[in-house]
Amino acid sequence: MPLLAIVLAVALAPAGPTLAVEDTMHTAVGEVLVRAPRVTLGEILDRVARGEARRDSLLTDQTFLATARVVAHANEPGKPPELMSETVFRVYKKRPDKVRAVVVRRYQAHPPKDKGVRAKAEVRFGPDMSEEIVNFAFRPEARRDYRYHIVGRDIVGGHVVYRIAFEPRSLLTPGYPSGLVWVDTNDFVIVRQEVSFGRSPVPLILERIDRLVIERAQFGGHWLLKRALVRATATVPLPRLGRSFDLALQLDDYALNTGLADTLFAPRRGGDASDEAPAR
Amino acid sequence: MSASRGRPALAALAILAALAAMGAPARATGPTPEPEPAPPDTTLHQFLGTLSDSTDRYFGMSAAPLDTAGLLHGESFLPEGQRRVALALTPSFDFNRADGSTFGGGLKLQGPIRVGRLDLRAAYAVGSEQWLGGAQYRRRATKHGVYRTIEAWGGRETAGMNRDHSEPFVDPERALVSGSDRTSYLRHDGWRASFERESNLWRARIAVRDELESPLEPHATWDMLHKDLLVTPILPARFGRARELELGAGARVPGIPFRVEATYWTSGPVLKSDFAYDRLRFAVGGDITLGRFASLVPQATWGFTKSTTDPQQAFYLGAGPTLVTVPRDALGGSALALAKVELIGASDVLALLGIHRPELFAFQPAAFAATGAVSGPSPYATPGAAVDRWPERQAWLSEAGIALHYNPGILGMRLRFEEAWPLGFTSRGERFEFLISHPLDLLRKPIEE
Repeated sequence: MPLLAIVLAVALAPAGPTLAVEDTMHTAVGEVLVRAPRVTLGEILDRVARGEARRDSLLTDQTFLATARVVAHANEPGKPPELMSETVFRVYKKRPDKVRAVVVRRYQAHPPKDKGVRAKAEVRFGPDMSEEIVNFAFRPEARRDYRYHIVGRDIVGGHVVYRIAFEPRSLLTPGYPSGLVWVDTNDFVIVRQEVSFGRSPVPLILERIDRLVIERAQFGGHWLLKRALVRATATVPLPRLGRSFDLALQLDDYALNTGLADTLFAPRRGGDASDEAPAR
Repeated sequence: MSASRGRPALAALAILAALAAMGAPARATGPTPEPEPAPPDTTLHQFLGTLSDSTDRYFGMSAAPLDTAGLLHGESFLPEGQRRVALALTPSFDFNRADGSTFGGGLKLQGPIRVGRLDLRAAYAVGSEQWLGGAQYRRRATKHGVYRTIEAWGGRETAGMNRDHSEPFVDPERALVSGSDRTSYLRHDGWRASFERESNLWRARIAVRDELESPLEPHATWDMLHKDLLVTPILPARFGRARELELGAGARVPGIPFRVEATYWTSGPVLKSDFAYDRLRFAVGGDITLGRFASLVPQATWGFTKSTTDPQQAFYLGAGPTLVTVPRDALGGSALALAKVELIGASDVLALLGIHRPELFAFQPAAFAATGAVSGPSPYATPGAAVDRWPERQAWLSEAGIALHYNPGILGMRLRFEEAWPLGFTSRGERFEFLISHPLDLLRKPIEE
């Protein structure tokens, strides 16, 4: 009888691989209560503040290319977007308070007839390297001005990335920003931020801020500002810009802690006369 | 019907099943080597890159990578610290009943940030037939969220008698358009300088001044409509040289959303001043958020002067940040106490009414109640009353009202349209006021706002 059963089983078995007995074995595992402490929001905020401070402390000098753009008619039906101006700077910064910005390209779609000071679209760079535009809501002194909550966690490779939302505590000024940041918990630095405004911060001029995105990227092991992009809708059409326009600042080509010489920041005789690149 | 609804679901299930089926033989055929896990940073960058890609699509050409071809090198510098001095000429016009129309202009010299800004102003007052103006220097440095401001001024100016409140844009408009400027003025000739340190948590200020203070008489008893002024006389200031030291401090209260501040002014023979006084003012205010719907803003102030009854050191009650039902600066004394509470809605009025409106017309509704009093000798009456640091019970005046707040988002201003009604038995009536202010108006506005 057992021999017959074996013969039948072999004869009726489908062609192809044969499952081993142990592959079909079932078992049950009892519940395991995990007592690992979860990091609290307060601890995360403390670590972000320390992580941002540490990130800043590791920088003694930096050089980068900064591109400032203004795009008109960014999202207007029937009107294609138009690059109104693009200015590219080579920026040098050094602790504690040295900064130099060099214009390496200036493009204006409609150069003004006035060649004076007002004709230049100026972007000013400060010597600070802490990137307040990224971490303004997560600085220790700002903790009592905002509410925070964890929106989610993503496990990406060997990183745990927290998504933390923030919103202003005070309702007195409706134009204050709220937003969402992505925090890489390996370094506890902010790697991306989306800022939103429930109400226009400048209703006389702007109907709304449609979107504001701030991104960082890793250069040489340091998280640094990569770009800040804003799309806004004006209350009334602005001359040449229209109602919808973009403002963009992109930062590339970083060089860090290269030991910039102080002479780079020294006054230069006659610098004013040649301080502007010709319009393209 | 149900069958037709069910088809897509079945089809989806079928597809899923097919996919699963495609995967099954692979598992069944035995172990295959798993792909090598990507390095963690690469995976993170891919994750962020996915988010960036969506940003690229949204922003289009604004987010396009920089074309580095043709970038200049080397010598085309625009050094931030070596910026040329920028010059700006600005015309000015002012009007008050002491000076009449005052025409002038200013020259602003803005140097590099480290150097600061110099404003030169000159104006001729047609009514009083005097030249006014002077020079003001200001330098503000910011580091790690701390503002350090140095200011100095020297020259001749017309100043308000009320040291605690002035409305530089609204008062000239009231005087010129409707003759309803009730403030009093005095002349300052001299200089003053101050240093202030302010952070998000606390601030401190020290200031000195040496100014000759002199009374003014009304020279413009008219307005644009040629009507009589509501108030013509100007409260005469006591003449003399004021050499004064001012100390101020403010801080956020830990743990609760309140701020406190105190200011102390002193002058006397030690400073070789013609005046001798000590003036103190305290203020406290809070911003209590009620859910997502409203803010409760309680505020209080108390101030008093010692050893003087000079009008320029008195405390004034009426309009401004004090009581709406009392005309501007109508009451005065050597001490002031005031408390008020305001409930400010987060939404705007038209949205609450379900009316679609552009953002330009977003007005926040508010309701408020206030009580306040002055005590001690009034600058409007013959001195004689005893100096008292706390008002007597019968001196207190109360009111309640409603308001609309408009936040234009410029210079931290807030436009307030207020209507108030007096409480209790009183001869005061309902009163409307327009004010340019900020929510915690009994305290100094933080720099960051």
